[in-house]
Amino acid sequence: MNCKTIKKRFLTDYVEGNLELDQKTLVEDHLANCLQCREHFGEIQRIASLLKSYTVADPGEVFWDGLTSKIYSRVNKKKPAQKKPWEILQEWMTWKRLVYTATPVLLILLLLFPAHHFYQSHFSELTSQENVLTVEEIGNEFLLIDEYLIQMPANQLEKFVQKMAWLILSPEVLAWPEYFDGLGLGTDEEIFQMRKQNLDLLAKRLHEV
Amino acid sequence: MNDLILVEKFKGGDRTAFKELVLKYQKEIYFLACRMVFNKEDAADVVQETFVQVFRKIHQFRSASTFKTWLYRVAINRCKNFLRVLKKNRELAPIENYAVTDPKDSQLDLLLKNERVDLIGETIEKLPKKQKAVLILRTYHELSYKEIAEIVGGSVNSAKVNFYHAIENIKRLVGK
Ligand SMILES: [Zn+2]
Repeated sequence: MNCKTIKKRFLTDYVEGNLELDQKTLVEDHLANCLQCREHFGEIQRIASLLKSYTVADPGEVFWDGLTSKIYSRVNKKKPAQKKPWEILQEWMTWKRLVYTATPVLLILLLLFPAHHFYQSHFSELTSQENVLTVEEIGNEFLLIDEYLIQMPANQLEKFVQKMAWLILSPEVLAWPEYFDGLGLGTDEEIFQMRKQNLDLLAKRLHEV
Repeated sequence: MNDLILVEKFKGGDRTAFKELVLKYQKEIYFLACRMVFNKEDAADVVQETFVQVFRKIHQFRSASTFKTWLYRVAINRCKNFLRVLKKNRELAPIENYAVTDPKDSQLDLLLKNERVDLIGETIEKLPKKQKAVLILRTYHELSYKEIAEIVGGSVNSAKVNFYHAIENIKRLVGK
Protein backbone atom coordinates (compact mmCIF):
# COMPACT_ATOMS: atom_id res chain seq x y z
CA MET A 1 0.00 0.00 0.00
CA ASN A 2 1.39 3.40 -0.90
CA CYS A 3 1.37 6.60 1.13
CA LYS A 4 -1.46 8.17 -0.85
CA THR A 5 -3.78 5.20 -0.33
CA ILE A 6 -2.98 5.13 3.35
CA LYS A 7 -3.72 8.82 3.76
CA LYS A 8 -6.83 8.98 1.61
CA ARG A 9 -8.53 5.73 2.46
CA PHE A 10 -7.55 4.76 5.95
CA LEU A 11 -6.40 7.82 7.79
CA THR A 12 -9.69 8.94 9.27
CA ASP A 13 -10.75 5.48 10.35
CA TYR A 14 -7.33 4.67 11.72
CA VAL A 15 -7.16 7.81 13.84
CA GLU A 16 -10.61 7.03 15.19
CA GLY A 17 -9.89 3.36 15.73
CA ASN A 18 -12.57 2.14 13.32
CA LEU A 19 -10.49 -0.23 11.20
CA GLU A 20 -10.87 -4.00 11.03
CA LEU A 21 -7.87 -5.84 12.38
CA ASP A 22 -6.38 -6.80 9.00
CA GLN A 23 -6.63 -3.25 7.68
CA LYS A 24 -5.22 -1.93 10.91
CA THR A 25 -2.26 -4.25 10.57
CA LEU A 26 -1.68 -3.04 7.01
CA VAL A 27 -1.66 0.57 8.13
CA GLU A 28 0.59 -0.14 11.07
CA ASP A 29 3.05 -2.08 8.93
CA HIS A 30 3.26 0.87 6.60
CA LEU A 31 3.70 3.35 9.44
CA ALA A 32 6.49 1.30 10.93
CA ASN A 33 8.44 1.70 7.70
CA CYS A 34 7.51 5.23 6.61
CA LEU A 35 8.68 8.20 8.63
CA GLN A 36 6.72 10.67 6.51
CA CYS A 37 3.39 8.97 7.11
CA ARG A 38 4.21 8.48 10.77
CA GLU A 39 4.75 12.21 11.22
CA HIS A 40 1.65 12.95 9.23
CA PHE A 41 -0.48 10.68 11.43
CA GLY A 42 1.02 12.19 14.55
CA GLU A 43 0.00 15.66 13.43
CA ILE A 44 -3.48 14.60 12.46
CA GLN A 45 -3.96 13.01 15.87
CA ARG A 46 -2.76 16.13 17.63
CA ILE A 47 -5.08 18.32 15.61
CA ALA A 48 -7.98 16.00 16.33
CA SER A 49 -7.33 16.25 20.06
CA LEU A 50 -6.71 19.99 19.84
CA LEU A 51 -10.12 20.40 18.24
CA LYS A 52 -11.74 18.73 21.24
CA SER A 53 -10.59 21.61 23.44
CA TYR A 54 -12.81 24.05 21.53
CA THR A 55 -15.79 24.08 23.85
CA VAL A 56 -18.83 26.32 23.81
CA ALA A 57 -20.00 27.50 27.22
CA ASP A 58 -23.46 26.47 28.36
CA PRO A 59 -25.37 29.77 28.45
CA GLY A 60 -27.52 28.64 31.40
CA GLU A 61 -31.16 27.95 32.19
CA VAL A 62 -32.40 31.51 31.68
CA PHE A 63 -31.05 31.48 28.15
CA TRP A 64 -32.56 28.07 27.33
CA ASP A 65 -35.96 29.05 28.69
CA GLY A 66 -35.83 32.23 26.65
CA LEU A 67 -34.91 30.33 23.53
CA THR A 68 -37.73 27.84 24.03
CA SER A 69 -40.31 30.57 24.46
CA LYS A 70 -39.03 32.47 21.41
CA ILE A 71 -39.48 29.33 19.34
CA TYR A 72 -42.99 28.78 20.72
CA SER A 73 -44.05 32.34 20.08
CA ARG A 74 -42.78 32.18 16.51
CA VAL A 75 -44.60 28.98 15.67
CA ASN A 76 -47.74 30.08 17.47
CA LYS A 77 -48.16 32.75 14.83
CA LYS A 78 -48.22 30.00 12.26
CA LYS A 79 -51.02 27.65 11.45
CA PRO A 80 -50.68 24.19 12.94
CA ALA A 81 -48.62 21.78 10.88
CA GLN A 82 -50.89 20.73 8.10
CA LYS A 83 -50.42 19.62 4.55
CA LYS A 84 -50.26 22.67 2.36
CA PRO A 85 -51.60 22.56 -1.19
CA TRP A 86 -48.13 22.54 -2.67
CA GLU A 87 -47.19 19.62 -0.44
CA ILE A 88 -50.10 17.66 -1.79
CA LEU A 89 -48.98 18.65 -5.29
CA GLN A 90 -45.54 17.39 -4.49
CA GLU A 91 -46.88 14.02 -3.55
CA TRP A 92 -48.69 13.88 -6.83
CA MET A 93 -46.13 11.87 -8.68
CA THR A 94 -46.63 13.17 -12.20
CA TRP A 95 -46.19 16.76 -11.23
CA LYS A 96 -43.27 15.93 -9.00
CA ARG A 97 -41.64 14.03 -11.82
CA LEU A 98 -42.18 16.90 -14.18
CA VAL A 99 -40.49 19.39 -11.88
CA TYR A 100 -37.68 17.05 -11.00
CA THR A 101 -37.18 16.04 -14.59
CA ALA A 102 -37.21 19.54 -15.96
CA THR A 103 -34.21 20.50 -13.94
CA PRO A 104 -31.62 18.00 -15.18
CA VAL A 105 -33.08 18.45 -18.63
CA LEU A 106 -32.58 22.19 -18.48
CA LEU A 107 -29.03 21.71 -17.37
CA ILE A 108 -28.26 19.22 -20.12
CA LEU A 109 -29.82 21.43 -22.75
CA LEU A 110 -28.04 24.48 -21.56
CA LEU A 111 -24.81 22.66 -22.19
CA LEU A 112 -25.99 21.81 -25.69
CA PHE A 113 -26.26 25.46 -26.60
CA PRO A 114 -22.70 26.55 -27.27
CA ALA A 115 -23.79 30.16 -27.72
CA HIS A 116 -24.62 30.48 -24.07
CA HIS A 117 -21.19 31.15 -22.72
CA PHE A 118 -22.62 32.34 -19.50
CA TYR A 119 -23.98 28.91 -18.78
CA GLN A 120 -20.96 27.03 -19.83
CA SER A 121 -18.65 28.98 -17.62
CA HIS A 122 -21.13 29.02 -14.82
CA PHE A 123 -21.75 25.32 -14.94
CA SER A 124 -18.13 24.29 -15.19
CA GLU A 125 -17.38 26.50 -12.24
CA LEU A 126 -20.03 24.63 -10.29
CA THR A 127 -18.95 21.17 -11.22
CA SER A 128 -15.24 21.75 -10.89
CA GLN A 129 -15.51 22.53 -7.22
CA GLU A 130 -14.17 19.81 -5.06
CA ASN A 131 -17.13 20.00 -2.77
CA VAL A 132 -20.46 18.70 -3.89
CA LEU A 133 -23.06 21.44 -3.76
CA THR A 134 -25.62 21.32 -1.02
CA VAL A 135 -29.31 20.93 -1.72
CA GLU A 136 -29.91 24.57 -1.06
CA GLU A 137 -27.01 25.70 -3.19
CA ILE A 138 -28.26 23.58 -6.07
CA GLY A 139 -31.70 25.07 -5.61
CA ASN A 140 -30.30 28.57 -5.80
CA GLU A 141 -28.41 27.76 -8.98
CA PHE A 142 -31.61 26.51 -10.57
CA LEU A 143 -33.34 29.73 -9.68
CA LEU A 144 -30.62 31.55 -11.63
CA ILE A 145 -31.11 29.21 -14.55
CA ASP A 146 -34.87 29.77 -14.50
CA GLU A 147 -34.32 33.50 -14.55
CA TYR A 148 -32.07 33.16 -17.54
CA LEU A 149 -34.59 31.01 -19.38
CA ILE A 150 -37.38 33.44 -18.69
CA GLN A 151 -35.34 36.15 -20.35
CA MET A 152 -34.28 34.04 -23.31
CA PRO A 153 -35.30 35.46 -26.73
CA ALA A 154 -38.47 33.87 -28.10
CA ASN A 155 -36.91 32.06 -31.06
CA GLN A 156 -34.23 30.48 -28.91
CA LEU A 157 -36.71 29.49 -26.30
CA GLU A 158 -38.84 27.75 -28.89
CA LYS A 159 -35.92 25.67 -30.13
CA PHE A 160 -35.01 24.95 -26.61
CA VAL A 161 -38.40 23.53 -25.81
CA GLN A 162 -38.57 21.47 -28.97
CA LYS A 163 -35.42 19.73 -27.84
CA MET A 164 -36.64 19.48 -24.31
CA ALA A 165 -39.82 17.55 -25.08
CA TRP A 166 -38.23 14.19 -25.87
CA LEU A 167 -35.85 14.51 -22.97
CA ILE A 168 -38.61 15.10 -20.49
CA LEU A 169 -40.17 11.83 -21.57
CA SER A 170 -36.88 9.98 -21.67
CA PRO A 171 -36.97 6.99 -19.30
CA GLU A 172 -33.33 7.49 -18.34
CA VAL A 173 -34.05 10.87 -16.90
CA LEU A 174 -37.20 9.71 -15.15
CA ALA A 175 -35.42 6.75 -13.64
CA TRP A 176 -32.78 8.81 -11.97
CA PRO A 177 -33.92 8.59 -8.37
CA GLU A 178 -30.62 9.61 -6.88
CA TYR A 179 -30.82 12.81 -8.78
CA PHE A 180 -34.36 13.49 -7.69
CA ASP A 181 -33.46 12.98 -4.05
CA GLY A 182 -30.27 14.95 -4.37
CA LEU A 183 -32.06 17.93 -5.83
CA GLY A 184 -34.09 18.10 -2.69
CA LEU A 185 -36.60 20.45 -4.23
CA GLY A 186 -39.14 18.86 -1.98
CA THR A 187 -37.18 19.63 1.14
CA ASP A 188 -36.96 23.36 0.77
CA GLU A 189 -40.24 25.13 0.63
CA GLU A 190 -39.00 28.51 -0.52
CA ILE A 191 -36.93 27.17 -3.37
CA PHE A 192 -39.72 24.85 -4.42
CA GLN A 193 -42.20 27.71 -4.39
CA MET A 194 -39.92 30.02 -6.33
CA ARG A 195 -39.17 27.33 -8.90
CA LYS A 196 -42.83 26.62 -9.27
CA GLN A 197 -43.48 30.29 -9.94
CA ASN A 198 -40.61 30.39 -12.39
CA LEU A 199 -41.84 27.34 -14.22
CA ASP A 200 -45.32 28.88 -14.42
CA LEU A 201 -43.78 32.01 -15.88
CA LEU A 202 -41.88 29.90 -18.36
CA ALA A 203 -44.99 28.04 -19.36
CA LYS A 204 -46.73 31.35 -19.91
CA ARG A 205 -43.93 32.62 -22.12
CA LEU A 206 -43.98 29.41 -24.09
CA HIS A 207 -47.65 29.93 -24.69
CA GLU A 208 -46.88 33.32 -26.17
CA VAL A 209 -44.22 31.79 -28.41
CA MET B 1 -40.57 9.25 24.55
CA ASN B 2 -39.30 7.88 21.25
CA ASP B 3 -38.75 10.55 18.56
CA LEU B 4 -40.84 8.83 15.94
CA ILE B 5 -43.80 8.58 18.29
CA LEU B 6 -43.47 12.28 19.08
CA VAL B 7 -43.27 13.11 15.39
CA GLU B 8 -46.38 11.07 14.63
CA LYS B 9 -48.25 12.80 17.45
CA PHE B 10 -47.12 16.18 16.18
CA LYS B 11 -48.14 15.34 12.62
CA GLY B 12 -51.53 14.52 14.08
CA GLY B 13 -51.72 18.07 15.46
CA ASP B 14 -50.40 17.56 19.01
CA ARG B 15 -48.35 20.64 19.83
CA THR B 16 -47.03 19.32 23.12
CA ALA B 17 -45.16 16.70 21.10
CA PHE B 18 -43.46 19.53 19.19
CA LYS B 19 -42.54 21.18 22.48
CA GLU B 20 -40.97 17.98 23.71
CA LEU B 21 -38.86 17.79 20.58
CA VAL B 22 -37.72 21.39 21.06
CA LEU B 23 -36.75 20.75 24.68
CA LYS B 24 -34.94 17.59 23.77
CA TYR B 25 -32.87 19.02 20.92
CA GLN B 26 -32.52 22.79 21.27
CA LYS B 27 -29.27 22.58 23.20
CA GLU B 28 -27.37 20.43 20.74
CA ILE B 29 -28.67 22.43 17.79
CA TYR B 30 -27.51 25.60 19.54
CA PHE B 31 -24.02 24.20 20.08
CA LEU B 32 -23.96 23.07 16.46
CA ALA B 33 -24.99 26.53 15.27
CA CYS B 34 -22.45 28.27 17.54
CA ARG B 35 -19.62 26.46 15.84
CA MET B 36 -21.09 26.71 12.37
CA VAL B 37 -21.79 30.46 12.37
CA PHE B 38 -19.22 31.40 15.03
CA ASN B 39 -21.40 33.94 16.79
CA LYS B 40 -23.70 33.29 19.74
CA GLU B 41 -26.49 35.73 18.89
CA ASP B 42 -26.64 34.50 15.30
CA ALA B 43 -26.59 30.91 16.55
CA ALA B 44 -29.68 31.57 18.69
CA ASP B 45 -31.45 32.95 15.60
CA VAL B 46 -30.46 29.90 13.60
CA VAL B 47 -31.91 27.61 16.29
CA GLN B 48 -35.20 29.48 16.17
CA GLU B 49 -35.32 29.32 12.38
CA THR B 50 -34.50 25.63 12.49
CA PHE B 51 -37.41 24.75 14.75
CA VAL B 52 -39.77 27.01 12.84
CA GLN B 53 -38.80 25.08 9.71
CA VAL B 54 -39.33 21.79 11.55
CA PHE B 55 -42.77 22.99 12.57
CA ARG B 56 -43.66 23.96 9.02
CA LYS B 57 -42.10 21.03 7.23
CA ILE B 58 -42.78 18.11 9.51
CA HIS B 59 -44.92 16.48 6.81
CA GLN B 60 -41.84 16.21 4.62
CA PHE B 61 -40.09 14.08 7.19
CA ARG B 62 -40.18 10.42 6.23
CA SER B 63 -39.08 7.83 8.72
CA ALA B 64 -36.52 6.54 6.21
CA SER B 65 -34.05 8.60 8.23
CA THR B 66 -34.17 9.29 11.95
CA PHE B 67 -35.76 12.50 13.18
CA LYS B 68 -32.39 13.50 14.57
CA THR B 69 -30.54 13.35 11.24
CA TRP B 70 -33.42 15.14 9.55
CA LEU B 71 -33.33 17.88 12.19
CA TYR B 72 -29.57 18.25 11.82
CA ARG B 73 -30.00 18.52 8.08
CA VAL B 74 -32.48 21.34 8.48
CA ALA B 75 -30.14 23.04 10.97
CA ILE B 76 -27.06 22.71 8.76
CA ASN B 77 -28.98 24.16 5.84
CA ARG B 78 -30.11 27.10 7.97
CA CYS B 79 -26.49 27.68 8.99
CA LYS B 80 -25.29 27.56 5.41
CA ASN B 81 -28.02 29.90 4.33
CA PHE B 82 -27.03 32.29 7.07
CA LEU B 83 -23.37 32.12 6.09
CA ARG B 84 -24.20 32.74 2.45
CA VAL B 85 -26.06 35.94 3.30
CA LEU B 86 -23.25 36.94 5.63
CA LYS B 87 -20.64 36.31 2.98
CA LYS B 88 -22.40 38.60 0.56
CA ASN B 89 -22.11 41.42 3.06
CA ARG B 90 -18.63 40.73 4.27
CA GLU B 91 -16.34 39.20 1.71
CA LEU B 92 -14.14 36.64 3.40
CA ALA B 93 -10.91 35.59 1.82
CA PRO B 94 -11.56 32.17 0.30
CA ILE B 95 -9.51 29.28 1.54
CA GLU B 96 -7.58 28.99 -1.75
CA ASN B 97 -5.83 32.23 -0.89
CA TYR B 98 -4.07 30.69 2.03
CA ALA B 99 -0.60 29.49 1.31
CA VAL B 100 -0.30 25.73 1.08
CA THR B 101 2.73 25.16 3.22
CA ASP B 102 3.54 22.58 5.78
CA PRO B 103 3.16 23.89 9.27
CA LYS B 104 6.14 24.51 11.42
CA ASP B 105 5.73 22.37 14.45
CA SER B 106 6.58 25.18 16.83
CA GLN B 107 3.41 27.05 15.89
CA LEU B 108 1.25 24.01 16.44
CA ASP B 109 2.98 23.48 19.78
CA LEU B 110 2.33 27.07 20.72
CA LEU B 111 -1.30 26.63 19.91
CA LEU B 112 -1.46 23.45 21.95
CA LYS B 113 0.27 25.01 24.93
CA ASN B 114 -1.77 28.17 24.98
CA GLU B 115 -5.01 26.35 24.30
CA ARG B 116 -6.06 29.12 22.01
CA VAL B 117 -9.62 27.96 21.83
CA ASP B 118 -10.78 31.09 20.02
CA LEU B 119 -8.13 30.49 17.40
CA ILE B 120 -9.48 27.01 16.76
CA GLY B 121 -12.91 28.53 16.22
CA GLU B 122 -11.45 31.10 13.83
CA THR B 123 -9.65 28.39 11.94
CA ILE B 124 -12.77 26.24 11.59
CA GLU B 125 -14.59 29.37 10.44
CA LYS B 126 -12.30 29.56 7.39
CA LEU B 127 -13.05 26.03 6.15
CA PRO B 128 -15.28 25.46 3.13
CA LYS B 129 -18.84 24.94 4.34
CA LYS B 130 -19.12 21.24 3.73
CA GLN B 131 -15.81 20.39 5.37
CA LYS B 132 -16.73 22.57 8.27
CA ALA B 133 -20.08 20.84 8.72
CA VAL B 134 -18.54 17.37 8.56
CA LEU B 135 -15.78 18.26 10.98
CA ILE B 136 -18.19 19.76 13.52
CA LEU B 137 -20.70 16.91 13.28
CA ARG B 138 -17.99 14.32 13.72
CA THR B 139 -15.86 16.01 16.38
CA TYR B 140 -18.44 17.67 18.60
CA HIS B 141 -21.61 15.70 17.96
CA GLU B 142 -19.95 12.33 17.51
CA LEU B 143 -22.27 11.27 14.74
CA SER B 144 -21.37 8.32 12.56
CA TYR B 145 -20.20 8.94 9.00
CA LYS B 146 -23.39 7.29 7.80
CA GLU B 147 -25.45 9.84 9.72
CA ILE B 148 -23.20 12.67 8.57
CA ALA B 149 -23.62 11.57 4.95
CA GLU B 150 -27.39 11.67 5.40
CA ILE B 151 -27.17 15.15 6.88
CA VAL B 152 -24.79 16.88 4.46
CA GLY B 153 -25.55 14.72 1.40
CA GLY B 154 -23.19 12.49 -0.55
CA SER B 155 -21.69 9.12 0.26
CA VAL B 156 -20.21 7.82 3.50
CA ASN B 157 -16.83 7.87 1.86
CA SER B 158 -17.17 11.47 0.75
CA ALA B 159 -17.98 12.38 4.36
CA LYS B 160 -14.74 10.71 5.45
CA VAL B 161 -12.77 12.46 2.72
CA ASN B 162 -14.28 15.79 3.72
CA PHE B 163 -13.26 15.18 7.31
CA TYR B 164 -9.75 14.39 6.16
CA HIS B 165 -9.57 17.53 4.02
CA ALA B 166 -10.88 19.60 6.92
CA ILE B 167 -8.11 18.36 9.20
CA GLU B 168 -5.53 18.92 6.44
CA ASN B 169 -6.78 22.46 5.91
CA ILE B 170 -6.66 23.19 9.63
CA LYS B 171 -3.11 21.94 9.66
CA ARG B 172 -2.24 24.37 6.88
CA LEU B 173 -4.10 27.30 8.36
CA VAL B 174 -2.64 26.77 11.81
CA GLY B 175 0.78 26.37 10.33
CA LYS B 176 0.74 29.70 8.59
ZN1 LIG C 1 4.02 6.45 3.79
